Amino acid sequence: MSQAIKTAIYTKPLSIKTDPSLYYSVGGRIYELQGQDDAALPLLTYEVQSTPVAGLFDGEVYIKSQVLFTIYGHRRLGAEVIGTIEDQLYVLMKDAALAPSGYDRGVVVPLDRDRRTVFDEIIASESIYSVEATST
Amino acid sequence: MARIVGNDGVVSFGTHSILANAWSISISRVVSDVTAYGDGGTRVVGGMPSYTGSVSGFLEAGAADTSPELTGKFYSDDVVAVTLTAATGCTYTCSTCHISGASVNVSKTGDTTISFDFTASGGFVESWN
Repeated sequence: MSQAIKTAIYTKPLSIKTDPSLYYSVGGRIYELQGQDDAALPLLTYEVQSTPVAGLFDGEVYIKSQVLFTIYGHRRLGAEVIGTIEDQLYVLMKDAALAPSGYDRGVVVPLDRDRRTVFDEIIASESIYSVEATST
Repeated sequence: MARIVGNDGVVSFGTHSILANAWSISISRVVSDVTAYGDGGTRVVGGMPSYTGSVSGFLEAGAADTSPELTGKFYSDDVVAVTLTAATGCTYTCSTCHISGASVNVSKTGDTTISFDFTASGGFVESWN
């Protein structure tokens, strides 16, 4: 069932593919955990870091997943490019209601935005969101 | 039917400006013991319910209607209309809430928060769908 949450997270950026959009900005390069070795930049990865589960008396299950989004880009293109993409991620995900199969909905709440790190020629921007959902 | 989560909440608090991010409401009543000789167990009778609650959030500025209004209105027994929303269509409303207390906290290195405590006159109306 947790795969449904991952699928819903992946599907959300696909809803808008034309410029300007998150999907367009990362060239459709959206991966779970990490990008392909030969993938061009920028790209977006997502990682479901934790999913606490609470069983309800009626047999349903309430979950609150913590999801890490990371945007990778070339440092030579400047940090502002990453910021623009991070803004698009925020606008797309803030208060969004995902549609994971088998759940009532997945309410997305931003928790931590745009934490930057640099390594070699890469700039990375990490953002953390929570996804709350109840099984149906 | 979707499970309600905190992110669905909304607050409307009269003309007092507050960018709210939390609300609470408590209901209490006196329960009188009317146990008499011959009763097989304790018997009680409930009294009138009393509704109290609070809203909290942040101060705002930059427009004519952003004042928290913590002075003038309080001299004349300030009464406000309160709507507490858990989710769309799921609300508690009361048009005659008396503000019993307010608190503003400003610190140089911290948040600028405000909170109101209120007591309802006549009770709240629950609307749920």
